This record gives sequence, C-alpha cells and structure tokens, in this order.
Amino acid sequence: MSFVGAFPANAPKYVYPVIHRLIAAIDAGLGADLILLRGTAVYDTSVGVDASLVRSPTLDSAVGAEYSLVGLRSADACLGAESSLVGLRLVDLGQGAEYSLIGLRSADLGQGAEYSLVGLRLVDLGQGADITPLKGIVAYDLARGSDVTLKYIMKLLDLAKGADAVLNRLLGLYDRGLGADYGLASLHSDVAAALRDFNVSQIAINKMIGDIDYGKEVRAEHYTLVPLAAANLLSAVSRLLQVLKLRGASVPADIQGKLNACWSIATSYPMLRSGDLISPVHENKLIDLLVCLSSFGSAFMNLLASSGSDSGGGVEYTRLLDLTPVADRVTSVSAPIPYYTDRLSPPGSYVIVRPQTTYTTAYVSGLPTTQLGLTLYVRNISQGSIVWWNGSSAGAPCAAVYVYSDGWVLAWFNDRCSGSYTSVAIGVRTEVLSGAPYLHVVGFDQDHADTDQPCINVKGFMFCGNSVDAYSGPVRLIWEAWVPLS
Amino acid sequence: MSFVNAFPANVSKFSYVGMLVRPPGPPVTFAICNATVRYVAWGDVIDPDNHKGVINTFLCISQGIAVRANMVAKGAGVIQ
Repeated sequence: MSFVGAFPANAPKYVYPVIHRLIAAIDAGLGADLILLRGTAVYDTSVGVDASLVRSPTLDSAVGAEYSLVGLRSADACLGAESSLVGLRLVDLGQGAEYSLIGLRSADLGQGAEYSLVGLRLVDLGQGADITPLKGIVAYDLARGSDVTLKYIMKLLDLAKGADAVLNRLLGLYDRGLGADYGLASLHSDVAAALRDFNVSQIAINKMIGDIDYGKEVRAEHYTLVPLAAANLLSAVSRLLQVLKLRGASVPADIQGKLNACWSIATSYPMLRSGDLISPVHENKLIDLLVCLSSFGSAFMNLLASSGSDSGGGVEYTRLLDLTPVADRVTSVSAPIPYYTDRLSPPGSYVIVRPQTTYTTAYVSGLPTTQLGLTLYVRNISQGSIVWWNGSSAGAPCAAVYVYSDGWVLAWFNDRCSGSYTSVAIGVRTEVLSGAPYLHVVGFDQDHADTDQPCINVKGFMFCGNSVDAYSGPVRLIWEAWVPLS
Repeated sequence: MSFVNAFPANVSKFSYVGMLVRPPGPPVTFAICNATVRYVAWGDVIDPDNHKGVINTFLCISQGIAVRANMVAKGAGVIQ
C-alpha cells in the first residue's frame, strides 16, 4: 500500500493518522517495543502528538512491515529521540517505502530536530529507491544540524536519480551553498589546511635536523616536531578518508584502525619544553609512531593499487578519481583497459600505468637499487617481507636476471623455486622521451601475484602491483614507470 | 650523558657512541625507507645518529603518505 494513494497531498488533516500508521507498522515489523517507545516519547515531547495514537494497533496493517522496520531501525541506532521523531515525519510525507526509509536514516544521523524535519521533506521529493544519494545525506548529516543545510539537501535529493551522479551533485551543491561551516566544504578546507600544516612542520623538521649532531645541544623541538607533524598528516588523511567515505567509497577497516592507532600515539606523545627532563620514552614513542605510520602508510598507499577483490576499496577509489588514460603507453590491447595512473611532482614527469592486459613480449625488469631515490623490490604480501634473490629449492633458482640486446634488464622471481612457473618480474631500461632521459621501470606478473608483488619506491612514494589473481597464463604488465633521470 | 640528566640546566649534548654505558636497544628496521633505528633505555647516551635516523625515517614515511594523500585529494577534487 502506498502513501501516495492513501494520502491526498492537500489533506493535512491526514498527517497525524499517517504517522500513527507508520509507528504501528514499525512496531509490528520489529516487535521492538523499546524502539517504538523511544520514538514515541520523543515525538510526544517535541511535537505534542498523542503517544497513544502512535501505538495504535489498529493502524498496524496499513503499512508494510519491512518498510517501517528499516526506518525505525535506522533512527533507533543512530539518533537521539528528537531525530527519530523527525524521521517519523519524514516517512509521513514520503511516497515510496524504501525511499522514505533511507531518508529517515539520513536525517537521523544529522542530529537536531529541525534539521531532520527538513530532511524528511527532502526524502519525500526524491522518488526512486537508489541508496547511494542517501548515503551522501548521511555524510552531511554527521556534520551538523541546520535548517539551511536541510533545504539544500532537499533540492539535491529532488534532483537525484542515479547513484554516483546524485552523490556528486549533492557534494557540489552543498559546497556552493553552505561554504566552510558545513559538510564537505568544511572537510575539504580541513584537508587542505592539515596538509599545509604538515608541509610547514616538515620544513621545520628539515631545518632542525642539521642541529642534531655530536656535541650539540639537545632541544625540545628535536623531539616534539615529529609527533606534531604526524598529527597534521594523520588529520589530513583522516578527513580525506572521511570525504571519500561520504562519497560512497569504502575504507577497509584495517586502514581506519591503523590510522586511529597512529593518531593515538601521535597525540599522546609526552611533549617537552625547554628545561624538561628527557627520557627514553621520548625516543621510543617516536619509534612506536614510525612503526605505526609505516604499517598504515603501506596500507594507505596500496589502497588505490589494490584490486576490488583484494580489499574492496581499490575499485571504488579509482572510480572516484578523474584519471587520465595513458593508453598510448600500451600496445596490443584487445579490450578496453582498466588503467591506473599516478603522478609525482613535477606533474607529468612520472607515470605509473597498470593495464590489465597481456604483455606478450617478455621485456624488462629491474635490479634493486637505491640510486635516484629509487628502490625496486618484490614483496611477499602474506608475510609482508621482501622476497630476496638468493636461495633455491631442489636446485632450481629462485631468481634469474636476463639482459636483452635492446637494453632491458629483467629480473625474474620465483617464490617457490620450483622452476615450473615464474611469480613476478621487475625490469629497467634507460630511455629518452622528448629529449629527456628517463629510467623506464616495469613490473610484471605471470602468476601467483596474490602472494608476491613487484614494487617500486621513488623518493618515498611506494607503489606495488595489484593482485592479478591467477596461477598460470601470460605475463602481464601490471605497472610501469618512467623516472626522470635529469 | 644519559637521558636522566640530559635536558635541563646543564644543557645536554648529543654524545658520542664511545660513551655508551650499555648496549643499544633492540633495532627496528623499516625496509621501505631502508632505515634501522633503535629503542633506547635509561642510561643510554643520546645518540644523534639514532635520533636523526628516527627523524629521517619519519620524513621518508610521512612524505610517501603525504604524496599519496595529495594525489588522492586532488583527484577527488578535495584540494586544488
């Protein structure tokens, strides 16, 4: 049964009965008296609606149970009582059941009765059952309660139809309409500010580090700048992840957990002032922070590189970015290529491409080196360790190097030393592109990349190949990079 | 020079390794940044090399994260 048919829009006298039905439906669907009572109590206080009517069992059959159930559950989990009350109103004005239900949840997260009330109307105008736009609302709601904000959201939902497009529009509208005090606009500025703060603190550290030497004084800043800089960086990353989540991307729980752990260490650092007693804790806490940041950094930096099957986040994050194809780097492509690009400073000087295609010419490869700030290595994913070249099994080499006449040097790694197949390979060759010298570096996977990854680290920027997830088949070029030599 | 009396009035100086009064603490290796630092304990000298290693490792790790964060933020339109 639809509210559309049941309630003429110009019949305000039906509003209260509708609310009653909704509540009753919720009651029947969940069997949760506590939830119902909470919503009712709030409603009674704020709006003056008769609580007994809300719980009227006679209205129970008028509404679909699953419909009401979801809405009630959302309100119950996310909000205080005021919010739930608003949620009820929202449903009352709404049309389709799924829709209103989701809207209710969004409004509930927002906090503040007046805010949620507007959100109710918003949902009502939205139509259609796409959940994604509602996710966007949830994100906004978390930021604050505001009548103005609600109105903008309402318009947004009103326009919304498709998930991604709606979400993007919502974000943009919110930014333009509210400015820095609300929602993502605030998050955006927070990210920018935190990154700027990190850069400033990083410069300070670089200036300071020259003062740390034998015979020189020990100063408080020698210890305190690092946790401050870390806090700035983690603050930026945290807000950035929040923005992405609000846009519908998923952030793996382990990444969020590591981020939280690092934040805890950085913000609990025992700060020093001149004259304070320094203790081993001040050094050891920094090392704890490094260990945490290293773990978090690896997970964070692989977020974009990971495939959907790996963490569930890579695909979504990639989709959110406006990536520029580098298809001209790839030949022998038989199908549209999912690609991944990455650029370091200066823009355009460094490119990583990850085509999911067959690379039939067995070229390339790489030697571990630290020159140019460049490190090439193969990582064992499950063990988190570097795969070394030496070692053998049953007389079969674990790694081999091939030099080609066209300048490529290719290193093959076999993590099982069986000789029956090759795991991964890394290769290098110097090239001249548009008159400028580059080191062309390539990572290959033949199979078994679900445990081994070819990786490259350029000046602190790490990139590892994704999991091709196959145990046999052709060699695949999973990334390549041009590192400027000049 | 120990951590105990390192900081206040008689300004601490970073000490030479030869002044170590006890073996250095357990090493912590960061493969990605090619660095090894050591935990310290009461009585250890304030080793500038170890501390610079800590700071340089932080710069290495944090820079990698910052570069990726900047890239993601720009790609997502969060920053210009």
